[in-house]
Amino acid sequence: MSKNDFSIQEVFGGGLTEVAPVSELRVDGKKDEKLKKVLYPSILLAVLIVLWEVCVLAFGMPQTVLPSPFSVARALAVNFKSLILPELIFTLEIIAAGYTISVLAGFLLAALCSQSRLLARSAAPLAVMFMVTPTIILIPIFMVFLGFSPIVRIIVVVLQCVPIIMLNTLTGFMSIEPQQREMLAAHGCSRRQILTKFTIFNAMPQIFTGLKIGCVISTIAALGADFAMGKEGLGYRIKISSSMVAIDMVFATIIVAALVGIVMFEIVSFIERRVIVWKRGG
Amino acid sequence: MVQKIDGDAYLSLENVVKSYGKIAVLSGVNMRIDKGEFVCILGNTGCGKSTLLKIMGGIEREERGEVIFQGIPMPRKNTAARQRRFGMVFQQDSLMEWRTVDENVRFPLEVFGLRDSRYLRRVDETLESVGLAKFRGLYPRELSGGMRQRVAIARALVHDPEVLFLDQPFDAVDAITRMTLSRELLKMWQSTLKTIVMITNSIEEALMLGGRIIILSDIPSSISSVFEVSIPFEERMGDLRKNRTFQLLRSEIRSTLDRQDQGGLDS
Repeated sequence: MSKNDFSIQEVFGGGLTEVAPVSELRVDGKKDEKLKKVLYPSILLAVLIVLWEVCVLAFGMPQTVLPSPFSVARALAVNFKSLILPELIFTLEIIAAGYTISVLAGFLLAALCSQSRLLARSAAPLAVMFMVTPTIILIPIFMVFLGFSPIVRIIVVVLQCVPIIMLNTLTGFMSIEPQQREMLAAHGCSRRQILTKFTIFNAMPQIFTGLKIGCVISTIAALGADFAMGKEGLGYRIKISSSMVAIDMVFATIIVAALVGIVMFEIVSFIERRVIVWKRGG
Repeated sequence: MVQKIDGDAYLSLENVVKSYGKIAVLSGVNMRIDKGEFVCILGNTGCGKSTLLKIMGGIEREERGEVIFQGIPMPRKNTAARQRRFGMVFQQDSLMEWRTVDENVRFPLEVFGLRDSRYLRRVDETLESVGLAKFRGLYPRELSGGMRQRVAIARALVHDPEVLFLDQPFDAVDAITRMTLSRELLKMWQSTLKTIVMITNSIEEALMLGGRIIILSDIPSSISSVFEVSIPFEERMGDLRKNRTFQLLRSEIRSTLDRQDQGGLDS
């Protein structure tokens, strides 16, 4: 596989087979690679921003259609504390609660299903069904019972997030190679030993793939719920700013919302690198 | 054909039958292995030799017949207590990627609950004996194929098993490493006199290592012939190709296997 092949596996991290050979991880080359990973996208981003600014000036775009990056930055600086921060905190709380519940529930369900092939086979298609359904369309139903309670939003996040975490974890739990099964049988391992000494570690790459996609999904679901329910949240702030034609504020809030997802993803990736040490050199 | 029938065997198979679905793999295998013997099992590909070894090593269950170890039929249930007496090496090293060399070798001790200092010393000794003491802190992915297989061999020996089962252990390594590892294995056998049963598809390897070579027929297989290999240890460690006994047995075994292959094609 060439270095320029950029696949889902590379973004979310594939299985153990996807790791680079030792030769590519020599210490001297490693720093360079790391720098390039940050530097190149940063340069591209800077170029795009400059291009954006230039276009706005050159074509005389009205601020109500496409604000310049500068005015977006100004809107962000001026309104962050008063208008964006409270909504950010609200949405963060929804995401944090939803994500935490999803991780716990996803693991629990995966562990349960992994105990029987029949259960795994029956549950997986249902999970897929939930996964592909945009759960914000269920909001009207939940609102009938719960009104404007934040619990509705948490439910939306959980319903969207649990299947993806569960499915990835379950795949990890179930994918033990036949030779490895024989090796475990050769040692007469008990069910518990197989789980605690083998399965959990073996599944780690897939578990983290689920956790990382979960970050993205929970952010999308929470923002979507804000849009649908209104009243509070980053999504609501975007909607309301848009209706007031404060487009610079729309952009400023979008940037904050995007950062939420990116930061979450990076935190989980950082933990992954700390946990799966065996995938890297030394 | 020489088949020992007198006295109690250390490990014996009695009329072992096994099939996968409709395909009969083993059609009544009888075998007796003495303590301290190095036995090689040869056969054409797909003849069920791996299945036979898995049954001996407790990974697969025989359909009919019996495996008797030290005069007692093998318990049906796969437990650590039963498996503790065996060491196994497979074609693939089956190392755990998340464990360092050292931790992989310790794995059997953890599973078998061997916390004695004697066994902890054995970790160092076995790593030393396979030449990996310096690499104990590395992860498997940092090792070459040959080194990985050495770790697997150390893992199979660390708990001081009574019988060592090897299923084509050197198939995945290059020819030079294969030779080196074979020599080391023979040396290990010479110094410990462990009972070793090894599957191989190389006649030369079987002749170099085995004190006795058992040939399996094609499936549904049973033992077709047995050869005693009376080549002294020193000669085995040297250049065997010029050895007269080696040459004779090699051509004899080859023609036996060829005949079987022919028979398989005809039917």
